[in-house]
Amino acid sequence: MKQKERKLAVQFVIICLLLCAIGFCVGKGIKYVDWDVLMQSVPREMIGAVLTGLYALFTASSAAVMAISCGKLKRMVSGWNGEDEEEIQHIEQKLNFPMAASSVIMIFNYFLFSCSCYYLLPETWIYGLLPCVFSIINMIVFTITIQKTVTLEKQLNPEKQGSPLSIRFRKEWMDSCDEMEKVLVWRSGYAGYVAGNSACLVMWTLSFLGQFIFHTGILPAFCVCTIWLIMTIASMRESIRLT
Amino acid sequence: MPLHNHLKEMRARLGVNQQEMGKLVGTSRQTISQIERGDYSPSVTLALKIAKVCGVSVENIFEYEEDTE
Repeated sequence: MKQKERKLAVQFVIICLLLCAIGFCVGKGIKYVDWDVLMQSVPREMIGAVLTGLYALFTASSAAVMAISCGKLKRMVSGWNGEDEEEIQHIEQKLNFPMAASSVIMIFNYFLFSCSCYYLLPETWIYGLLPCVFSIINMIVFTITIQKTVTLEKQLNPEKQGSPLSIRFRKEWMDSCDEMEKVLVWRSGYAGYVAGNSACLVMWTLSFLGQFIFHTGILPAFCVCTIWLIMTIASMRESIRLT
Repeated sequence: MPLHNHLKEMRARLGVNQQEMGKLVGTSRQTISQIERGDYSPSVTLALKIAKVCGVSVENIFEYEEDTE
């Protein structure tokens, strides 16, 4: 047991030394990178136009994918005879796609909205309206997708309760879940928490380096650490409450 | 999980589908499906409810086998 712990301690020290070495090399390399000069070589209008073009493409393709996916699922659900257990298994697996995809779309929407506004708004107000229009379209697509998916889920499982338009949706939905579904939600939540913790560490490193390379100031590090802190406190508080 | 079950056979004997079985024991269709596939081990309460609905003892539906490895 002691030998195993000693081996783990040696591994830990090696990882720490390796990370220190990487940190030293990155720190040394930072002074040779001048992001400001690099960015000044690309016209601001060009970045704004490219970002807005990307945003338009993203909005159109996400709306198309969601419409096709929801239409296909609606046909599959209507075609289910209520008996075939293999088929419903398949349909329910497919139902996960629009749910997950719509959440990812919303996150990308927030990111592209911020980027487009940053590069467009100070220039011309009319072009600045474009990110707002795309953002509203994405929010409508998100709401319709969630609404349709929940309706289909309720059609397959009539015991499910709650409307996505209600502010009490999460609670109502969870209350209508049975023990197995709650276990699945908790397991998924734990996986998300673990991934979030690792992501926070990586993002903090990037925001720390960003202070020196991109001159971003302390705001990015502050935001990452706030999210990290909220995640940790929420998890610890619930853990203490449950024990 | 070394918990084997005969829920599918018991359900077939009762002549009900997963949705109806779920309703009888007060759970969802997905839970019945997951138990049958061996992907989920039910709580003691749910196992007892299933046994009661099937009219047999829990041991007749769920079998615990020691992991030989």
